[in-house]
Amino acid sequence: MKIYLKVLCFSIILNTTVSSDEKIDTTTIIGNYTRIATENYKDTITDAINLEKAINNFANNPTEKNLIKSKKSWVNARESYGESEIFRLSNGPIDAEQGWVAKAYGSLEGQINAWPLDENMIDYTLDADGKKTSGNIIDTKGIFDPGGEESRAINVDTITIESITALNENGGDANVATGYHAIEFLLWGQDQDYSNFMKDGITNGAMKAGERPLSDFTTDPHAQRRLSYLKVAASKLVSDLKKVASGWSLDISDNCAIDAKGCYRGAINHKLTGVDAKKNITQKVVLRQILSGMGIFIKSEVANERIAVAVLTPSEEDEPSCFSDNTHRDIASAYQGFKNVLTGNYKGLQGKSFLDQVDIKTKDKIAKLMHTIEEKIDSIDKVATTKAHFDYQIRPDHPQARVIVKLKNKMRKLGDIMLVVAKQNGIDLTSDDVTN
Amino acid sequence: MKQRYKSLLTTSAFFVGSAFLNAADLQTPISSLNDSQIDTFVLGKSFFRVPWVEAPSATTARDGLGPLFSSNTCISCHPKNGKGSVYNNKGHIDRSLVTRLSIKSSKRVDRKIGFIPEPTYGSQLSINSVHGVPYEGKPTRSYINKTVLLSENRKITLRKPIYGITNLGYGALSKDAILSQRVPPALIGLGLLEQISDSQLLDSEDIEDKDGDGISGKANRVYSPETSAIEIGRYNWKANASKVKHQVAGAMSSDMGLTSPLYPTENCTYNQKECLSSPKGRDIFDVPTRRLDAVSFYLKHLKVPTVVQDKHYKDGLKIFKQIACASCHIPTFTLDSGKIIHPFSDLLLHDMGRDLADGRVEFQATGSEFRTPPLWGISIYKQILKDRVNFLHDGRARTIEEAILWHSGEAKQAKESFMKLPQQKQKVLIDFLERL
Repeated sequence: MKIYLKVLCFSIILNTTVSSDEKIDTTTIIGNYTRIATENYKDTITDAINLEKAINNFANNPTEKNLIKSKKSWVNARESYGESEIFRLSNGPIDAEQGWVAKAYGSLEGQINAWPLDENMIDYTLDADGKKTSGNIIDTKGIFDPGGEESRAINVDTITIESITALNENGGDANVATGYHAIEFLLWGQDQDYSNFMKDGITNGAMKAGERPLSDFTTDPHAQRRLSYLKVAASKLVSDLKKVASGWSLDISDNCAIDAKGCYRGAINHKLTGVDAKKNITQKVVLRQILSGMGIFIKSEVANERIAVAVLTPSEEDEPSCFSDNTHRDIASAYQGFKNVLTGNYKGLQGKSFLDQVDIKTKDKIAKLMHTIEEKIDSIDKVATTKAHFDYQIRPDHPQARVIVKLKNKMRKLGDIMLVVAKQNGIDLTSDDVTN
Repeated sequence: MKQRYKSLLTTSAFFVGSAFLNAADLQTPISSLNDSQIDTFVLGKSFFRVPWVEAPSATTARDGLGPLFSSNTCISCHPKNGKGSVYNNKGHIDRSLVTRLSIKSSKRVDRKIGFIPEPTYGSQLSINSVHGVPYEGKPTRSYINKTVLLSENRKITLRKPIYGITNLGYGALSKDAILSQRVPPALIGLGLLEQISDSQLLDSEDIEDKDGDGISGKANRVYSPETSAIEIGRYNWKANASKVKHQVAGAMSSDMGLTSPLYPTENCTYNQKECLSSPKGRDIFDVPTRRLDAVSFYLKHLKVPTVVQDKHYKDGLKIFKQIACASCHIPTFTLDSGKIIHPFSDLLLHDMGRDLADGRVEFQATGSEFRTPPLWGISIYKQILKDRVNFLHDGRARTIEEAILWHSGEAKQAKESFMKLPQQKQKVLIDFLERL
């Protein structure tokens, strides 16, 4: 819960920023954006390595205590990763889909954070009739066919990085075998409600997440496979994150075609030279990518796809961390990442930001909006840790449902205000640019 | 089984600084929606894209797929809300290519569906099925080439598809079976088409061709499961659905095997025992009213791309009108609200001649009659499909020019006028169409 207190200090941050009549060099702002990305990904890797260590420890000694430690490490790792999500949707190393950036860094977002996922593919679940499902990666020997559109069968006699990588998105986007949420499911197991809360019967309770029994890792016939899967998935997560982070490396490769280390960093700061000089991205394009990405992220991704769909359906299946019930933190950390970039501050270290270019009136408006958003995030966070997890807060009859509805509305407004922020940073965006 | 957000949000919008029509343009909401309308839009979008799973499953909000189905999401057959395709990117027949089935119906047709289904296989071939139920078969096609001579001695080779089915799962087809392969249309401006009043549509009707221009035009009169009344058909290749909701529920039923208040029964025929006895979803309908309404709302409130009416446009439109394309592809309508729209269609049925005829009757539409397909958005679905772009009901035309050359029947004269145009003018016209 280390980020929890951070969201309270927004007003202080705003007061320390430069007044709007002092225009700042765009180069400095992009430089500070780069600094935040670099530091954030560094933390992401540190936290993922700690998760891997905890999991390896658990695999060697599968006790209740070590399971809890692994779960805690996972929850902790989600904080820095959640903040780093603001670097998505900007044609950067994490998820560029075309061009040299995609080629150089492999567009690994789908390997790292794919969600929602079809948990049935990984391990057993209880179906709506209370029966254990079978025919998954854990209980299959030999060839496993994930099914779906033109799927390829993969040998799963031993669970390896190669086999789970080959299974990920094999046969369709929902066939997720890797990343944070695959690990989450293996650690926690299902936390499922049925029939959209209307005929509740199987859920574990308002303050309970998934409750996978320790025996799944000890006495169960497939215990060893589960442990192997966890180890392999954690190890892959670390190496995938390293690959993404390499794009932001302080060291810049002198030949990006051979080694893309630091090349994205170089390109957006116009620092690539020689054969790579043509990869440099103009400031206008960089600003467009970043600012529209921020708008889409806070509005279409967080407010709409993650919060609105969950509260409107309403269904536990639609909360991002549905096994661990860590969704309140997903929301808080995603917002925190947005705030880091908008205000140019990462963990207390202040730099120049897009907000510095914005007039006082707009800045006030943004500050008020952010204040309201933070109050609501705090409220969801508080209730999640004391009375009811996010999956219960979205129930139509729960008083928090109204708070959640208001939160997403305010986040949409914050996304729309990015048009003004962009304008005052010299970029014309339309409302379609921040909507997806 | 669910999808993940990476596929929902694209980063492709900002590769270049200049403005150009983008695939995302078919997926953005109109700008006048308030917060609660955006909520409905977002919910509909979610159900439009999320994969459905077989019942009973852990994901009850999205179970009930099949027993017989062709696809597990709406979006998979309307990529980025554009047109479907004949082949996938591996060169195999794409799952979006639908085979409609019926038997010859010189006498009476079923009052509610407008044709007589094939007795064993029903009204549409399902290429997939749930566990324990055989799927129905897979479509095949081969081509007969045909060369056409245009002005200035230019030759074009057209390919006429021969439809087939392989791997029949329930024995031979009836000897009277009629197969019609259809590519799903792009989902553009569906809400606006609904707002063209019946009387506006009927104004262009000229069933007996009293004005002697060789073009009749007939509105389809179809049964509406929503009102249980006969209404004017507006959607699909033969205008067999009157409202967006009617069309959505129909597609959910025939393409995904989902029941809804408009199509309450599973799509099994009496000859398909496994299908009839297969487990059903836990709720009365797989898609209850609120979700069906949300998907319809989503589709009705997508932004329609606007075309710059520059010199290219005006020159092309002039020829388009001169050679009478505009007699059926009516460029402009003024809605009762005062809004002006440019669908390039009269939404009426026209005889298209023997080469295009599929022999399939749908309500008032005869075997050779098709609805004038709207032409708006061609530039965008072309951009989405790239080299898989296709035109006409069965996707046989690889270019707009081929599509024009297939026109016959009521459109024979317009087609011949096109063929006689000097090549330079043909190019201006095609250029115009490609920019719509």
